Amino acid sequence: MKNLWVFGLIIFSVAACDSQQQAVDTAAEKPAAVKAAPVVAKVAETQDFATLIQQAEDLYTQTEGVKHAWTINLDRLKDARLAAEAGDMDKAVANAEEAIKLSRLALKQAESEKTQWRARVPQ
Amino acid sequence: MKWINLSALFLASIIAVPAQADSLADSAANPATNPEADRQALRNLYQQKFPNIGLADFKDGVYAIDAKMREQWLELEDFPPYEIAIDEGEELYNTPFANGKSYADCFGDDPGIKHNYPLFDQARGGVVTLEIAINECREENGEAALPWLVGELAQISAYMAYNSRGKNFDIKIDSPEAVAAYADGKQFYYTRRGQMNFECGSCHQQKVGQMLRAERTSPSLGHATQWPVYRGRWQYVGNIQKRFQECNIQVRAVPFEAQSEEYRNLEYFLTYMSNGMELNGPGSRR
Repeated sequence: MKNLWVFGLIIFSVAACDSQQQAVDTAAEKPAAVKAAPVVAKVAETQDFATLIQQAEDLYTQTEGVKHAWTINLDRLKDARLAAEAGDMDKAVANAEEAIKLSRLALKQAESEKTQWRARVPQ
Repeated sequence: MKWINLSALFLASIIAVPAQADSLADSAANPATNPEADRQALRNLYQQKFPNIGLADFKDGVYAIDAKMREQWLELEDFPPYEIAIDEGEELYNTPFANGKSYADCFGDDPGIKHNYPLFDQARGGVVTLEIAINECREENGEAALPWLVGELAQISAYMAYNSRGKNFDIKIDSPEAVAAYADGKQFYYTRRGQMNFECGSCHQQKVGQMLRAERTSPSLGHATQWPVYRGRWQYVGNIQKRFQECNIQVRAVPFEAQSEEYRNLEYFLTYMSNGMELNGPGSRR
């Protein structure tokens, strides 16, 4: 019975040690994880922004193609790039999204004006 | 033989009638194919909007419809700010090129030819503005082309406009290709663009004569008569296409290049709308 107690104590202490070590490991890893998260997020943000700004630029090129480019889109694209360079990804994304929205409106204008202009000619 | 001829004539008439009908149908579908009807409709519009103003008076632009502004403008005309540009233009015009020739070799003895521009050049299939003609004259004589909108080209243009004073615009649209260029310019004029969603007529036809901030909007009838213009805002003389660019930017549309096909066709349309009106350029505007 005494041996059984001794054996139990050894098992418990090993388990406790392991658990403690895991806790130590986790504690040791935690700062590293906290440091890595923004880096990973930043890379993801940058990749997202690259896709977004490409989409915004492609749409702007389309508005040029149909001769309905808007100056404000140039401003938004420029602001987006400058914000990205400054590391302000929220602002960069917001500007790129705005540019996309405005380009879509410009394309809509170009499409509707293919016929609408006629109604304004004095008769 | 006689019957054969008659049959051929009959067949030809059957073929010709649908062709003519198609042509008329096209004309009805596309109002741009009748420039003269457009011009008359525009004149009627201004006659209705401003029944107390003679149509010929629209050559003075906004000063035809605003008495107080007209008074100020007439006082300014005593010592017009564009006078220096005319003098400088005259000197440039009469200075021989390096090869000994001059602008007179291109345009003849009378520099007052602005009333014929822009014209449609059938050979090149496009609209030629006075500024293009001036620069082509230079290049044909071994000189470099001048910048389009301001500076020496605007000064030479001002001198030529000054010599064209009192003449009436005589713009010709006499081929299907010329009509197509006119139609493009017309479509440009009435097409909404920019974030502000304005067309040229928004200010100059629908809202003509109303205040836009501190400025009264000018009528499009007579818009071409006074160019080039010294604008107080610019502090120098500039050509009409500079104003086209400015207008586009004001409605937040990306402007086109000076002397682009878009602006040449627009100038062709707009000038034709002033056909028969007296030139009084260069002018001064606020």
